[in-house]
Amino acid sequence: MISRLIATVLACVILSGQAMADSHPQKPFRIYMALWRGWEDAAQGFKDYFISQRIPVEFIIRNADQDERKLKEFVEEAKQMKPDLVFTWGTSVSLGMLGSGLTPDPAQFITDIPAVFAVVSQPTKTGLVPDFSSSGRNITGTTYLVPMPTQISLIQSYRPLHKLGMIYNPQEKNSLLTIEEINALTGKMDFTLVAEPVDIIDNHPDAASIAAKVEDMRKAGVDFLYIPPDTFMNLNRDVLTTVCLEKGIPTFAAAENPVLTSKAMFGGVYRYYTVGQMTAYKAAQILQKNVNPKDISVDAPKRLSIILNMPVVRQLGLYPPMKVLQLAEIIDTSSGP
Amino acid sequence: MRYPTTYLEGRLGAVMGKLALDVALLISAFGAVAVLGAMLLLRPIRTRLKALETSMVDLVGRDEADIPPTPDPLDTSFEGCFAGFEWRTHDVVTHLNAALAEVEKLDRLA
Amino acid sequence: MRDIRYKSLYFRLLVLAVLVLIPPVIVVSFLAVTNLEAGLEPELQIKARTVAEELSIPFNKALAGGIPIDKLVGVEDFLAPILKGNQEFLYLCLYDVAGKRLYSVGVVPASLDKDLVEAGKLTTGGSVTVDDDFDYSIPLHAKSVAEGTLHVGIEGDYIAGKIRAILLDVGVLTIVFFLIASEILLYVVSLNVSGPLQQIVRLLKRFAKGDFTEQAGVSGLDEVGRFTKRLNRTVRMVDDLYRKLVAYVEEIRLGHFDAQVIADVHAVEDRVKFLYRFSAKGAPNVSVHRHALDIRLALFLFTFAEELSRSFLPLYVQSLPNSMTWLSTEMTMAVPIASFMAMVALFSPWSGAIAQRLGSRTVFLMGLAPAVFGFFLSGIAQNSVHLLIGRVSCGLGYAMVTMACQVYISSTARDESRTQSLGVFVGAVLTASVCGAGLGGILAEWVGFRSVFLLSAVLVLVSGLLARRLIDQRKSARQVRDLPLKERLSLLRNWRFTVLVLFAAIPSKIAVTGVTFFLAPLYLWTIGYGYADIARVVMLYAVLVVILSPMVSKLADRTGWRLGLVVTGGLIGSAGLLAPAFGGGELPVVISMVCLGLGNGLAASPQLALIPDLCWIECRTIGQSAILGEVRRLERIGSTLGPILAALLVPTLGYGLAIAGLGAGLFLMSVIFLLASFRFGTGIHIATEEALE
Repeated sequence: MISRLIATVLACVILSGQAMADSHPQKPFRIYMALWRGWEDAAQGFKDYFISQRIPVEFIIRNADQDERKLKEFVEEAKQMKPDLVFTWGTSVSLGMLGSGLTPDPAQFITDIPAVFAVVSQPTKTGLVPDFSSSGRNITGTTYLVPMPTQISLIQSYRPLHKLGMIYNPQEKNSLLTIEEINALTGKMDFTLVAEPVDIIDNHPDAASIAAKVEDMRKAGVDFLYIPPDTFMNLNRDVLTTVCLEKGIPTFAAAENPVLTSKAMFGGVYRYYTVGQMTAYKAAQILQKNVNPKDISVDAPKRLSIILNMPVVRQLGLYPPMKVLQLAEIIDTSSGP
Repeated sequence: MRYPTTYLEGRLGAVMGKLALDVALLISAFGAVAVLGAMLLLRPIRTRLKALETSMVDLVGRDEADIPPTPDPLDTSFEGCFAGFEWRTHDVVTHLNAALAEVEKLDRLA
Repeated sequence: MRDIRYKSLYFRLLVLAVLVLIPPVIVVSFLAVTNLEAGLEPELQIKARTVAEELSIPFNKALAGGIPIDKLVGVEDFLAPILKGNQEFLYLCLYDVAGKRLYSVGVVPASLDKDLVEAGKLTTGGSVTVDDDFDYSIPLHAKSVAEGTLHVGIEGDYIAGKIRAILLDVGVLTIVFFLIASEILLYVVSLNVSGPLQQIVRLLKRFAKGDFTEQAGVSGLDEVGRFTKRLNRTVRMVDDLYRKLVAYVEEIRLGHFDAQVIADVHAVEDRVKFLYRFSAKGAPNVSVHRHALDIRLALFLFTFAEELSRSFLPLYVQSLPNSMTWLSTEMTMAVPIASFMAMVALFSPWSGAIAQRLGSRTVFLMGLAPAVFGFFLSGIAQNSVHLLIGRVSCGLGYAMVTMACQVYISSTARDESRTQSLGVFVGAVLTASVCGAGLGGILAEWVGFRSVFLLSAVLVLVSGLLARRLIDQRKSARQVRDLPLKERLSLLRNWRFTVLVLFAAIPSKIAVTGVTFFLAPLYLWTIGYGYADIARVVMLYAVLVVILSPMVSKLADRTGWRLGLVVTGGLIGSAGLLAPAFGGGELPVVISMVCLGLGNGLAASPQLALIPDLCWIECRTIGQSAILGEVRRLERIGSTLGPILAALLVPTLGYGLAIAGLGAGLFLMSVIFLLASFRFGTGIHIATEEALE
């Protein structure tokens, strides 16, 4: 089985400054990277940080390719290899390899090797860590979601918001948590939420039902459609955003992919690349300065990125206010009208 | 007008500061001149005081012939008061010397 | 010059000071202003360009993103904070290439549209002069073709306004430094020349009468000092001669056998003793002459330190975190002022009493401790309670020091008349109020509130150094006793006295602390005035009082027209406060301050001069100075009430109308006083007086 995996051992041994290397020949740190959807921006940001800081590291890269069963093999392998640090990408990998609660079963999970996680949207609600200030165990990491009040006020600064629409996969815990969070804000921030789950056929979410749901949203007269950080919606982002665009509904994405690689109109996110870098910073603290992972708080990058999908903006004719535009990063694939 | 700390206001502040420094310098210069002026204005008083001072030197041991002028009791000026003092001092010294001589005579007589 | 006229000497020195000081200040200010004018205009242009370039970035980004220039969203919201943050900008706006104004914030001159078309700047940008103002613009474009222009309007009057402010500051500084310099000059002249000379004249007069009991205290090594020494030597020689005589007579008395001789020499001695007076102590006593002016500089510095924070105190409280949350915001600002006044009122009688018992010098130095502590605490205050404690402590110190000075001054009032020596006290306090108000605001702007308080603490210590030179006199020549309650009540039974206190004295103090020290600074602050501007307006009041008071005092003495002045002053002062009811902005407040200054300048000294007329019976039984003390104590009720009443009005009326509201109340009281004054000259009062005469 293992042979089927991408078993590339990438030896990125970056020498620090010449003099430094001469006087302190340093053994590179070995980092076991377990990814969910292959190499992407967060992993790149993670790696680039070590390069830019001239910290010698050696990566062992594994891709689960969205298959939860592979995670058990990763755990076994990591235990045998005994790397200096484990990096886990996303909620599924992190929970599958690091377990939840304060004392996960050492037989099933990695407990004695320090670990950092990245791109976990709800680390506390999923039980990965009890509290943002400390994991209480041998792990730390980085979240990537912008706080919900910030997201909503960003939407409101684009145009007045009375009704917020949302289509989600009812089988994903993440989505349910997101609805809960938005509902907590409706009164205070003066809007209503119209949330509809996609149809479930044979215990699987049905992508074909998305178009009908968007039509329901249009009828309900939503001002914005909120695209949650939902794996199913992320997979079907092209369907969702294209239909929305056809029906003239502006979309806001909580994650970057629908804006960057599809047709969502705008998003307020922490870029995966930045998240990866921040995670690497925490890893470096553990590796170089011997800081105990439980002493490093779990948090998100400080700098919010507003991304605007300009072709979509133009097609909708719904231009952003100058205040939003001034701060935004413009994505303009077709470049000009 | 408040002075917020923008670049322009910073420059204004610098001008103000320089101006204040100039005024302060002026005032110290003024202080020096005022002291000089005061000395100048006080000169007449000083010379007069000096003259009076010398006239006091041998006041007590002065000759009988050199009787100070009789003062004008209505003259309340400084010189008037001084003349009164001079005259009275001469008077008291004469009187005391006379008294001493008298006592001595009485003492001898017995 | 037959006579040594100290006043004329001092006056000539002042004239000299003015001649030396004023022309250079004018020259320097003129140079600075021309430099500034020349330097500032290009600076403004540069700033306009920088801002325009900075602002064009997001607009170009929007145009590059394919947004048509007439479809931009939220432009006004985006530009408004930038306009607000730059006072010299009149407006910000966007034009399209056709010359249509698409978006604008601020006041755009009506002729700009036409001027731009005429100047042909709609695609290129550049500067255009519109009336007295400037328009600077740069083109906006997505690609190389301009789609419109972004305009920044600069107020032409801005530089002139700034320069006006600077000149006003220089004017204030000149006045303040001139006054401080003249105070120091007065002190130096009095300490080195006029004081010792007065002492010498006094002694010369005694010597001329044959009184040789005293010699002068020697003050310095200059001509005056040398003269004094020579004088003393002469006096001692005379004294020695006398001692010789006494010793001889004593020798004969003890040793002589002939009783007749003893009797004869005794007769000689008695004759000398009859004609002249000598000290009983075996040598002439050293005379100590205390002069009211000795204490003036110390008193001036102390009150100056206190006055420095006057014009900005409520603003300072406003800037601190409020830890007295049970009070309204306005009340929190009023309470420190009111409690300072209350402390002064409460502790003045006690301070006067201990100053008489322990000596003025001791009490002055004792009073420094709470004052320094108070200023220090005010300077480092982290919340409103710290400041309140600081102010209370300062109030105690102020009561002790000012009463010590009053006791000292009244004890020197042997030769000089009482009013003249009281003039020394009032003069120092008033001059300090002018200097303090003006300089305090400018300093607050330059170095901040906290440093001003710390400077006050230092000034107070310096005043202490000056006061250390004073000589204590433990039992005062004249005991001004504290009035027992019964006598105070009997005073209040005199309706003329009560009416004067209630409807003239107290209202004028309410106006001063309620408006000048509280509402006016706060109101001016809310309409965008800086500390120095506020201080200038507050100073206006003090300047008027300082100029008017002595003049009115003379006028009142010469014509005997006192009641009328008090009535007129009260009416003018309170009527002036109504001005803010008729409009907002600076002018009404300035009018209020001017009227209040006029009113109090007119009424203050006649008010006190009226006392002997109104309470002539009580003046005989209780004593005039005790009654004056009582008036001053009752007045402080007004000082304490002023800010409190003002703070009560603010929540419903706002600052501007609160001034008018307070003014309306005070005007009513002045009218009551006017009506009552018609009956002052009639009735049993006069009859009794005539019967007694």
